[in-house]
Amino acid sequence: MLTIDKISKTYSNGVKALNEVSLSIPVGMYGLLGPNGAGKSSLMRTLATLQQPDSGKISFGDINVLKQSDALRRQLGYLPQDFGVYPRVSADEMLNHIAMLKGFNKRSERKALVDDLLQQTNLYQHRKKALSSYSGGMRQRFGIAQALIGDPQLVIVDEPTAGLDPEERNRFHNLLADIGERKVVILSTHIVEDVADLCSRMAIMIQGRIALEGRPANLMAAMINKIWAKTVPKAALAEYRQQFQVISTHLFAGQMRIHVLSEDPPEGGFERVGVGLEDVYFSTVVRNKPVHTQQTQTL
Amino acid sequence: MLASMFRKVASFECRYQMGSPVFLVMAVLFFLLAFGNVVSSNVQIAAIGNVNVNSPDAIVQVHVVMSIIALFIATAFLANPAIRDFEHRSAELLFATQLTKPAYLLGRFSGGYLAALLAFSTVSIGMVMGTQMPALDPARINDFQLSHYVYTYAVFVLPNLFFSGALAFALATMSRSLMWTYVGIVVFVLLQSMTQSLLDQPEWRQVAAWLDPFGSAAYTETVRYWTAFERNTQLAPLNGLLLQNRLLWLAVSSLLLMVSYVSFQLQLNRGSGREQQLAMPKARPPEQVHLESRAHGEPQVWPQFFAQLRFEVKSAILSTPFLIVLILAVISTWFAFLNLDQFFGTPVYPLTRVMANIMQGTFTLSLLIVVIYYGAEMVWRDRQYSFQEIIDVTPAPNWVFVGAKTTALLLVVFLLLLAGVITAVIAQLSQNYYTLELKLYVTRYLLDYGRLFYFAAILSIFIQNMVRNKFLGMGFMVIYVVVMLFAMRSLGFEDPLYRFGTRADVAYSDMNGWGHFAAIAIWYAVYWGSACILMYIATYLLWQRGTLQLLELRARGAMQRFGLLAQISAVLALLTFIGSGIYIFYNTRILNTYITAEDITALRVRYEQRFIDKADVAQPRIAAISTQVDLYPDTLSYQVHGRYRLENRSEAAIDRVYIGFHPIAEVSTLALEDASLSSRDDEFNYFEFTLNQALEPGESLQLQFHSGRRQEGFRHARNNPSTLGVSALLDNGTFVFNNEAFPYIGFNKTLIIDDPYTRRSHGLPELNRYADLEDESAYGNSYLRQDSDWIEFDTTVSTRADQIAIAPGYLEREWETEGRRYFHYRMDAPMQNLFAYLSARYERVHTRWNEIDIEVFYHADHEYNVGKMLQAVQQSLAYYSEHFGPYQYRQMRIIEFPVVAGKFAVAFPNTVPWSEGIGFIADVESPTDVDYVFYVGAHEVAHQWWGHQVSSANVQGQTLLIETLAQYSALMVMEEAYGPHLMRRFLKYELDQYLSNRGKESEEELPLYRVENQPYIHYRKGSLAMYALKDYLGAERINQALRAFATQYAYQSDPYPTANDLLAELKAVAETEEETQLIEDLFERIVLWDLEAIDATAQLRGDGRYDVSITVRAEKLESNGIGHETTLDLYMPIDLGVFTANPDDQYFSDRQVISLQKEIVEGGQSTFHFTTDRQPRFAGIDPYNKLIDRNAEDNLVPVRLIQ
Repeated sequence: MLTIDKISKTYSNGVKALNEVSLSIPVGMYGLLGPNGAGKSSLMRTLATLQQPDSGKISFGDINVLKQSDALRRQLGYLPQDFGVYPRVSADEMLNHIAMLKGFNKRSERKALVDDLLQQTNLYQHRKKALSSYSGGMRQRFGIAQALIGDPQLVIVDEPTAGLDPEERNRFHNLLADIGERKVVILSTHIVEDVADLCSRMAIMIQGRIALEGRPANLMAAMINKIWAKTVPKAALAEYRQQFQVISTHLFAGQMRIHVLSEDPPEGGFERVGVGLEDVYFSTVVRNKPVHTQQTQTL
Repeated sequence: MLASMFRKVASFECRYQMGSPVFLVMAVLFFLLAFGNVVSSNVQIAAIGNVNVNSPDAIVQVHVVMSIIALFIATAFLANPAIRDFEHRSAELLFATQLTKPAYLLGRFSGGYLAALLAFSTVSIGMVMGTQMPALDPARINDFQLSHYVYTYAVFVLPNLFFSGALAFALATMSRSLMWTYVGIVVFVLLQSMTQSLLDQPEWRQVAAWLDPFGSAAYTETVRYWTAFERNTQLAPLNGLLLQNRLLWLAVSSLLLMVSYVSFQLQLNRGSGREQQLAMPKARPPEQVHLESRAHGEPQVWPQFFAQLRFEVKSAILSTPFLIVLILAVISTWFAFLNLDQFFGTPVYPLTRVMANIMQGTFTLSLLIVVIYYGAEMVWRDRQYSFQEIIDVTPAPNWVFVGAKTTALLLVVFLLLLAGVITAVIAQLSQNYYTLELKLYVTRYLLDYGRLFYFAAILSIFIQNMVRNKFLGMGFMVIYVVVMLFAMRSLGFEDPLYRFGTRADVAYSDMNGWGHFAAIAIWYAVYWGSACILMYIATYLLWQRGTLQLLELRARGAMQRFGLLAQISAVLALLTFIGSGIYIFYNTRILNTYITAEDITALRVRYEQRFIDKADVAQPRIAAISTQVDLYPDTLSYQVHGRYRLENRSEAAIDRVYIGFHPIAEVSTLALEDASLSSRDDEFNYFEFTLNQALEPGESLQLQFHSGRRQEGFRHARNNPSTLGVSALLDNGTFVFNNEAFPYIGFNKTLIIDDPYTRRSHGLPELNRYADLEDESAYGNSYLRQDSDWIEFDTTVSTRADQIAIAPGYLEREWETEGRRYFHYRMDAPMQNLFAYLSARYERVHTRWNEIDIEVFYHADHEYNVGKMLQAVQQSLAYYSEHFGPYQYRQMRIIEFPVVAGKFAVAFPNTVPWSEGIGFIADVESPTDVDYVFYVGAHEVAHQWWGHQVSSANVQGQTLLIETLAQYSALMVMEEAYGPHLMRRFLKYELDQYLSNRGKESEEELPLYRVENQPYIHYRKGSLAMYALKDYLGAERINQALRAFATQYAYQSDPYPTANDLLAELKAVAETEEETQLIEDLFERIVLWDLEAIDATAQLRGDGRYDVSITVRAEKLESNGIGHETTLDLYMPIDLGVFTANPDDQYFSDRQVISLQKEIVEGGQSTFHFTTDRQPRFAGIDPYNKLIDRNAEDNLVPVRLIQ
C-alpha cells in the first residue's frame, strides 16, 4: 500500500505542480489520468525519489519514502515517460549494468535474471543489438524489462504507450496487467482507454490536484443518464458551448459530434448515450477548468 | 526574389547571432585582449618585439593571432546556423516553406559571417582606443593610419574568418552535430600546430608558409629579416609567398563552402527505416510470464562502484573524440621526439628528462581538452541521453556515481599520460637508447606534471555538478584555464596559493635529481590534493540526482547524506588543506620575502635611483682577493670569509669608500682598514665608509668581510636559481658566482634596467649605457667591472666529504678535516675578477697536451661527449698557441653543472663551467650535423686568450674583442677538424640568426666595432664578418694580425684596448684598397649584400666541353641603426661557382665543385662566362654564403642545358 499524504511542490518559476495531493494506492493497477501539465509526471517523479516535494509525506509499507529513498529504490521499478539510450550499448549489457546497480552482484544470478526478463519482453533474440537500433516498441519493452529487474513491489510507468502502434500497445497492456496482479503498479497516462482497459482504481489529476478518485466502474455509474450526445454543424459549435456544458467534441465522418453533461435531458434533439470513462474524464476536466478552453480528443 | 530572400535570411541570421550571449562575450573579450595588448606589457598577444604598438607589423600580427583564436568563435557563429534547425527540430517547419536552398544556405552563411566579423572588429577598436591612452609611451605610437587596417582586413581578417567559417560550416553541414564540428575543429588545430612546429627548420619554412591557412607563417616569412624601421613603416607587399598563400586558402575556403552547399539537403533524411530490419517477434502469451523473486539481501556497493567505473571508462576511452585526441597527442609527441634539436640542428640523446619535457609541450592541450570535455560528458551523459531517470532510481548510493565518474576521469587522464610514456619509451628504444629511467617518468611525468590535470579533473566534475548546463560548466573550466593558469600570473597575481592546482616552480636536473625541490612539489600537491578531496566530498553531497534542482535545495538534502565517514574525511582534508597552506605561507611569505616580477623591477629602479651617483666617484680598485669559502650543499648555504686588497689607482685622493653586496646575501661582518662605517643601507647591503686618512694614489687598504647566503625554505616563484639569476645552491651541483656574497666597490651596473620602455614607464632617465668608442676617459675601465683590473687570487674552498669543489687556480693542497673536504687553489698569474665555485660528486677524465693538464669533471651518466671535449680543448690549445700566442696557464678544466643553473658555458680563468643542458648530452655522431660540442669547447678555450689575456675597455665595441674573436677562433679550429662544408651549415644558422634578430632590435643596430653587448651582433654577425674577411685575406694574414694584437695588449689595463686597436691591426695586414674597404664594410658600417643568381645556361661545345653563362644581380646596401637602407656602389670580387650537385645537399663534397673563383662583380645585373670540362648542374653567386646576404636562398640556380 502506497500512501501519499498532502504533498505539495512549487517550482522555482512559480508553477504549483503539486497541490496537497493525497492518495492511497493498493496492490493492483492504478491509473493516473490528466491533461498535459496536470502534474502527473511531477507526482511520478516524486514517488520515484527523483525529486523532493516541498511538504507532505509518502510511505510505502514501512518505508518513509522521502527519508529512506534508498530503501524505496530497492523495491522500485520505474519506467520514465521518455528515455533515451546510449550509443553502442546493447540491451543485454545495459540490463546487466542496471541489474548490477540494483545490487545483483553475482554474475550467474544476474545473467539468469536478465535472460529471463529479455525472454519475457521478447527481446531475447535482439539482446546483442545496440539499443539505438531498436524500434519504439522494442525500446519501450526494454524500458519495462529494466523496470522489472529485481522483482520490484512498486512499479511506476509514466506514459508507457505513447508512440506505440495498437498491436504493440496491446502486448504491452498484457504485460502490465500480469504484473499488476501482485504489486502496486501506477500507470500515468493521458490516454483514457489505457486506464479503462487495465486499472482497477484510478485518479484524475488537474492542475496539481486530485480532482476525482475511485474505481472506474463506480465513477462511470455515477454519471449514468447525465451524458447526452448530438451531431451538430461545425459552425454552430460556439453557440452550443454557450448553451450547454459541452464536455467533448469529436469529428465523426466529417460531422461534429458533441457530448454534453446535464442532469436533465437538454433541449434540442440530444440523445442519451452510454457513459464511457472518457465522459468521466472530460467532465472532470471541464468542471475543473476555471477558464473554458476547447477540448479536442481525436481517436 | 532570390536576392531579397537571401537578404532576409542573412540579416535575420546576423541579428540572431548578435543577440546571443556568445556575441557579447566574444566582442568584449576581443576588445579587452587587443586593448590590453596595447596598454599593458603584461598582455602579449603577438611577439611584436620592440616595434611600435600600432605599427603596421603590430596591427597585422595582433589581427592575425586574434583571427586564429576567432576560429572557435567563427565555429560558434557558423556551425550553429548550419545545424540549428536540426537540433531544435524546427527543420520540418522551415523546409516546408518556400525557402530555396541558395537563399537559405548562403544567407545563413553570410549572416553568420557578418556577425563574426562584427564581433571581431572590436579588436581594431581595442587597438585604436588603446593607443589613445595617456599613460602610453608616446615614442611607441604611430599616427593612426586607416590604410593599415584596411590592408589587414583585406589580406588577413576577411579571408581568415572566411576560411574558419567555411570550415566550420562544412563540418557542421556534413556531421549535423555541434560536437563533431568541434571535434573536427580541434583536430584541425592540432594538425595545424603540429605541421607548423615540425616545419620550423629553415629549409621547410616555405612549405610551412604555404600550409598555414591563416597566412601567419607566410607573413612571418615575408618580414623575417625586416628591421624595426621597416616594421614600423611598411606593410608586407602582397606578392610572392604571401599572395600564393592567400590565393591558395581563398580557393580552399570556397571549395569548403561548395562542399557544404552540395552536401546540404533541404529535407529530413533521418528517422524511420530501421524498424523494418528488426522484425517484430510474437509476444509470449502473458500466462507464461513469471517473475524472478528477489534473491539478494543488503547489497554490497563496491561491485556496483566497479561496474559503474568500468562503464564510465569504457564509454570515454572507446569514444571517437578520445581516440582522436590520443592519436594526435601521440603522433605529435613522436614527431617531436624524432626532432630533438637543440642548437644548429644537432639533436640530443633521448634522455628521459628531455623526453618528459617534450611531452609536457605536446600533451597539455590534449589533457585540458580531455579534462574539460569528459568532465562535462561524465556528469551529463545520463541526462544527455535521457537515461538518468532509470539510473537514478536504482538503489546505488550517490558515492558510487560520484566516485566512479571521478575515478574514471582520473583514469582517462592517467591513460593518456601513460600513452605518452609508452610512446617516449618506444622512441628511446628505437634510437637504441636503453637508459630508460622509468622512475623518472613516474615522478616527473605521471605524478608531477600529471597532478595539474588530476586536480583539474576533480575541479571539472565539481563545477559540472554545480551548474545547470554543461556548456556553462565547460565555460567555467575554460575561464579557469585561461585566468588561473595563464593570465593571473602575468598580471602580477603570482601566488600559487590562490591559483588552483598550480605550485611554486621546481627544477629537475640529471645531476641534482629532484633534490630539495621534491619537498616543494609535495607540499603543494598535498595542499591542492586536500582541496580536491573537499571538492570531491562537496560533489558527493550535492550530487544532482533525479530532476535538476537548485543548489539550495540540494544543500538541504546534503546534510542528510553527510555521514560520519564523510564528516571525518572532510575535517581531515580541511585540516590538511589549512595546515599545508600555513606551512607554504610560512615558507613563501615569512621565511622568504614575497616579491613578484614587478617588485623585482621596482627594487632595481630603487637601487639605481639611490646609488647611481656613486657610479662616477673615484674609488679604489680590487687588486688581490683571498678567500675561504665553505659550501654546505645539505643546508643550501655557503659562507665566505674574505680579504680584498684595495688600491687607489686614480689620480685623486679618496676619502670615502662605497661597498655593496647583492641584496640576497647576508653580511655578517665588514671591516675596512683605518676607516669607519658612516652609513649602511640594509635593503641593498650597501655600506659607506669614511677613511680616517685619505687614500693617496698608489696606496692600498685591506677589506675584510664575512658573508654568505642561505636558502631558507622556498619561494612562491623563481625557486629555480636561473630564473632569479642567483647562485645555484643544490644538493649535487652547487654553482656559486662571485657576485653575491663577494662585495663590489662603487656601483653595480648589472642591476640597472636597460629596457628603454621599462625605464621610461618607471620615470628613469634615458640610459647611455656605453661610453662612445672614442671616449678616452672610459679606456681605464675594464669591460667586465669597473672596480677591478687584473687581480691576484687565492682561495680555499670546503665542501661535503663526497664532493669535489673547484675554483679557478691550481690545486695546491687537498685535505679532509671533521668530515669535510678542503681544496686550496691559487692562481700564479694575474687574472680577471671573474670566478666561481662549483661542488658536486664528479667523475673526472684527464689528458695532457704539451705539459698542460686537460680535465673534464662530469656527472657519471653524461660521459657521451667527454672525449670530444678533451679533444676540442686539445685542438684549440694547439691552434691558438700556434697562431695567437702562448697559453698562460698550465691547466684547463671543463666542469659540468646542473641545467637548473642555466643552459650555457662560461669561461673563467683556466676553468670552464658547462651546463649539462648543452653539449654533454648532444648526439653529435652524425657526420652531417654541426658538432656544437666541439664549437662550444673551442669558443670557451679561445676566451683564455680573448678575455683572459686581452681584456677590453668599457666602451662601445668591447665585446668585439672578446666574443667575436672567440667565435673566429672556434671557427678556425672547427674548420681544421671538420672541413669547410660543415662551416657552411654553421654559418647559415648564424646568418639566419643575425638577420632575424636585427629586426627585433630594441634600440639601434650598431656596426660591429661599436657593438653594445648585443649578442646577435658580436656572435652572429661577428662569425660572418670574420669568416668573410678570412676568405678574402686568408687565415694567415688574419692570424698574423691577431697575434700582433694579443702580444701588444695582453694584460694591459690603463688604457684597455678598444675595437679601434683591433681594426688597426687588421687594416695593417690589408694589401689592397678593396681589402681595406671590405674591413670597413664589415666592421665599421652595417653593410648587407643582396646577391641573386637569375639564370644559368650551359652549351655543349664541339670539343666536349661546356660554355657556361651565369646571369646574376648584385647590390650592396648600407643600413642605418633602425634599418633604413641606402644603396652603395658595388665593385668587388665575389665567388662565382659551378657545380655538378647542389651545395646545399647534405652529402655535397669538393669533388662536385667544377669551378669556384672570385670575379669582380658590379652593382646591377651582369653575366659571366666559363668553360667547363664536366656538365654543370648548379651555378650561382657567392654559393657558400660568405657575404652577409639579405636573402641567402636565391644564390643558386639549376643550369639549363641548351642544345
